[in-house]
Amino acid sequence: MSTATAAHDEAAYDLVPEDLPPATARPRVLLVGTALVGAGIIVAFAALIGMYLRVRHGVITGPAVDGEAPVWFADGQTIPLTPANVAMATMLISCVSMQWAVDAVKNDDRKGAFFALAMTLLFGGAVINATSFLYSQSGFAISGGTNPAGLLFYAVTGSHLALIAGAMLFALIMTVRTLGGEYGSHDREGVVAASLIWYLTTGIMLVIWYAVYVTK
Amino acid sequence: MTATQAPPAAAENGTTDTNATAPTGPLVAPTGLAGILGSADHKVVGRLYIGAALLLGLASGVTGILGGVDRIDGTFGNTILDGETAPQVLSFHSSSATLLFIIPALLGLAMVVVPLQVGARAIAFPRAAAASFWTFLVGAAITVTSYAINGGPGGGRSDAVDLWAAATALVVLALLLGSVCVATTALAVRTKGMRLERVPMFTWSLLCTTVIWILTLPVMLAVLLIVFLDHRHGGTFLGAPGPQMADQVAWLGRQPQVYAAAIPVLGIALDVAATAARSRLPQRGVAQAAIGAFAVLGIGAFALTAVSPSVAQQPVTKAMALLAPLPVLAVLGLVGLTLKGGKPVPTSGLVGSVIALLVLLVGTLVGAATPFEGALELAGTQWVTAQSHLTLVAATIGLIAGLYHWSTKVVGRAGTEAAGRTAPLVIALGALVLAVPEAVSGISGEGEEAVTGIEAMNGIAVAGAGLVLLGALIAVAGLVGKRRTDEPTDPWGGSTLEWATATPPTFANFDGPVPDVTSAEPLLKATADDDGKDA
Repeated sequence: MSTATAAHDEAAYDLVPEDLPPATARPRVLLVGTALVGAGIIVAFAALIGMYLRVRHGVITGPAVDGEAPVWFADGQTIPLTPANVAMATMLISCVSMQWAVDAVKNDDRKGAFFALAMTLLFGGAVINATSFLYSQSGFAISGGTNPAGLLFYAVTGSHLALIAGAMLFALIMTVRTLGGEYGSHDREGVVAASLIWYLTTGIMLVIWYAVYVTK
Repeated sequence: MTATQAPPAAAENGTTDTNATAPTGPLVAPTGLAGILGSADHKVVGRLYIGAALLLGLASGVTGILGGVDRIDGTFGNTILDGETAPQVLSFHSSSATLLFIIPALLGLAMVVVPLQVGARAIAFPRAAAASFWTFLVGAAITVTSYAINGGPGGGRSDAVDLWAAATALVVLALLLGSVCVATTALAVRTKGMRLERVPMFTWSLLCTTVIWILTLPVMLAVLLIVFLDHRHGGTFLGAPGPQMADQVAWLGRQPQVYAAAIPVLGIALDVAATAARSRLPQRGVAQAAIGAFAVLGIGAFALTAVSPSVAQQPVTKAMALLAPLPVLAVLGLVGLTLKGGKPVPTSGLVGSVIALLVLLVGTLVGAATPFEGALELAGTQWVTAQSHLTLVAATIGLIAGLYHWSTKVVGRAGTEAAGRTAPLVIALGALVLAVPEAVSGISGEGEEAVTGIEAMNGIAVAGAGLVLLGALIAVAGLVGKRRTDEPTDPWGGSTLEWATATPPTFANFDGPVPDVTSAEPLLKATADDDGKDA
């Protein structure tokens, strides 16, 4: 019998029952994929925030400009903390509603899950709105000035806005699927995956809030 | 158009129920144009990736030779290319070699082979894998177009430069998506009993590779975003637009990040050696550790020119460069042990993978010389270019070895053995002829863009580049041919699960349920029994 034929024969496999290890439960596919995507997102934001902090450090510890101590933000530019704090608080509250959705799906409470996911999406929209208001108040220009503060500020916070939009889209898809009955107590992988990205988005916002908004 | 894929129960089965992997009904692959454009079958997507990458690799090689011919007289942009075009050609060659050729080609090979090796009926997220390819194709086409209309880093047309940054970001995004699919397949879609320590070395190497890409390529995205914004808004951060823009993305093809493109070479060599020797791979733990260590040494995302111009002088960079040859040496030793323990047949895959390992070893040794200061001041010279060339050529030879080894699964026919054995030799010879003048130039302290004072050696380097391209063409010619009616399912007597599939593999990969795997070589016992009966 040729090897090729043997390979197609089930009995040809190396089956040694006494050597059979205990079955290993594989991690869920969507969760593993989401975790890998999450790792990529973390790296991307680590690079952006790292560049922001490194360049900022280089500027404020650098030589004086026109006889004056170097500053990161030019005159007339500032980061108003009120909208930043409101956005941060809203994002934190949205984590509660997201976890509520996960628990509701676990308990087959479709009405509760829908309500919680809708609340989460609403909070996400509110964060985007608060950040937009912050932009209008900050007075930053993306170009001009003596340093790239505006450019890096918009690169970091704008990318985070895009991440929030992506996380909202993911949560919206999972909401529709939950309403369609795909997720419930039998399987809540999709909602858990959406929550994973949502918590990650919140975590990154926490870092941006401190490193960019508060520290300035 | 709906992308076709295996049913979810089969496609995303990664749990413990092996029976769920059995096809519930006849699975018919779409044919014709729909079979290509609308398919989410990992074999089709992988083949598309490989085909597109080989075409783009040809373009990359041709531009490299054009750039080389242009600087034969020691100047740059004064002979066949003008001063504006020459940096663009060089920039396209260097960036496309990694982003448009070697990474997508290896990703394509992985998309075909990894699901087969782990006993999966489909890749994880099949539609995402298909989306990854089509996004890559669009991104690559726009990238090439942007260069053609005077874009690219430092190009004369501002909008085209922005287009280049956006298109390159699209390519990176596509490669990341494909990497997630491959990594998830290796992590979560393995058949029952296929524990991580039992996965074939190619799968292990691709798991390490894709994880490293996922952990480093997003940095490229961040850099491209900054480059795009900065260029569009006056260049306050990275300086005035010019050819130096290419430096912001050059780290992808330089030490240590360039090693991330060569990690699969180690896995291919180990798998091919075990198959060619028809024996078990000794010291699997050591092999996995060596591949993992090489992957860690290929993390170069911290080497950002924009924020850290002196990264080559940092102790971490130097240590990584010095340590890089060790895992390659370990794998070479394991390949030797494997071949010694069996009855090796010098297949095209074996010849190619051993040559790839040797070229990679030379590349890492050349790289290990860069940290030394004093008499050897090699950082920022042509020595670095030689190191990149050697590493990328090693990855190319490894890719060819893998394509020949798994040709019955990838292209549905066995490659021509003579071409498969000859091509790696020609390419390796070309790589050495290309790299030696560059290394000599590096020792003499020349910068990266022009070689002066040793014009004759410039001609030799071009000849080397020509040999590399010739070898690649021989390899492709050997893979493309008329399919025989009796293509063997397993031409080499392999012992891993991919050899239990038909040639070419059917839509759902495996004809029946995949039994529990109880060893790293599930088919070896059957082969041994077969031989015994035949005797």
